[in-house]
Amino acid sequence: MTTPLHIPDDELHAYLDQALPRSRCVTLESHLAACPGCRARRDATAALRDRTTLLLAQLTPERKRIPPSFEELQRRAVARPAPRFGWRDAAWAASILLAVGVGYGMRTAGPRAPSTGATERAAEVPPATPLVSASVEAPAASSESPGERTAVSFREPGLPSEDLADQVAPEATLPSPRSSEISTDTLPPETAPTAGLWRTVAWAEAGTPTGGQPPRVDGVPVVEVQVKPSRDRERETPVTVVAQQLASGQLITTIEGPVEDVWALLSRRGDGGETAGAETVRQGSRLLAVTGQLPADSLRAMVRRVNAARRVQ
Amino acid sequence: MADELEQLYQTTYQAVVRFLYRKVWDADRAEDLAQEVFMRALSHRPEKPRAWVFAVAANLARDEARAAIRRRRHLTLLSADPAGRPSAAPSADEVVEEDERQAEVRLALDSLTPRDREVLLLWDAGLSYPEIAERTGLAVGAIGTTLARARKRLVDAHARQHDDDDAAAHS
Repeated sequence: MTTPLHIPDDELHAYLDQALPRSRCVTLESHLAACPGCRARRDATAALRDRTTLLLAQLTPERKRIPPSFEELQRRAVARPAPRFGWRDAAWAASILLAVGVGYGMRTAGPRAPSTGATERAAEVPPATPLVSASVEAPAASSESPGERTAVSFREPGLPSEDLADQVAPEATLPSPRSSEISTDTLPPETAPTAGLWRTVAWAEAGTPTGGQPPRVDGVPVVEVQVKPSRDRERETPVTVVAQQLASGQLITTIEGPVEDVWALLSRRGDGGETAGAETVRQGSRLLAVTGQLPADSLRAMVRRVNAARRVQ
Repeated sequence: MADELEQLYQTTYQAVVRFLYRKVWDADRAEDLAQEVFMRALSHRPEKPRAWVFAVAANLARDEARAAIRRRRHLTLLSADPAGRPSAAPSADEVVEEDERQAEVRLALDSLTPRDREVLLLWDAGLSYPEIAERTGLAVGAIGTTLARARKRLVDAHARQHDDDDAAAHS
């Protein structure tokens, strides 16, 4: 290895940071012994390095708390609540599903104009509850831009002890369907996506493949229903995801399916940011979850309600 | 693995807190996030725990910064509410001086490019050149160059900051 005329700055830093291989250090040290210029630069670099360390040391937080012991941390890690379903994940999943749905629809439907009428069904209020008499306005006259989603004029469920159905306004105006909401429910049944993929279906169709209507919070308008075959396809146990919109515009999602599938969905939470809460109820090999950015007790009340309704079904 | 993590926790926890503090600028939050980082490490059992811990810490700090921006926007909306305003209790001289010193260094640090800052903070947190290279995507050979530049810029920016403050005080 040839010794450079002088030691470059980056090598001086690496040398002082003890990040050079031993053989290279020996070469540099022999050069330093013979070169006063490089020795002066080494000293200046060392001073710069020390000055940086000193400056950064001033950015040390005041120690306010005694950190927990490792054992305590282990206990907390074990006892921490189940992973939560992040809305960022939900948004990702929804956009991917919509893209798949639209792509599939365009491929199979060809150049024909999308039927907005068919998409209304995805936003219908499920007729299961006699307490709700929500109606859907025809979207044709709306001047709203197709990319916007307007809030549904329902009142938001508040305390968990209150009857959710009672809080729904008798008349509701549902949003104009977005052009991107052209879902696979416009497809004839034989062209539906293959097993293993998520399908966005109309509420009326959602019950057919699942052997009963997907669980959801009674009395709140459904904006989207998605169905995916379980990993265990032989058992014909699909996962259903029902998105519903509260009066405030917030979305709540009811997920039902085999435990491992639902956990897989719930565990795909983000590393940070605002995450939605989730409450779950297990029944045998199946898990029911309600997620949303609501207080935990509200979600808990909802999941109990949905579970009770499911048992009655 | 638990032993390795325990050792890492004992030796690196404060470095992780400092690393996070220099990104979120909130001591309590930095401690919370550092504990979250180690709890995640206990769940994930990463192969290279030291590099992993700092990678997750950097991600949490980034998310925290985004959340802080959202909170600030929210607080701006609430600024008409007198109850929401911070109290204007006078601070002790020492506290003020310490805050000023910190603010000068912080401004100097903020003047670095994100990459230079990240490399400098990772080095100060105790990561090796190969670990910094893995975390930042730089070549190991480029770490010395980056550190040389970052150190010089930090010291120069701080000196300028200090000079500006002195000039303002005497004008």
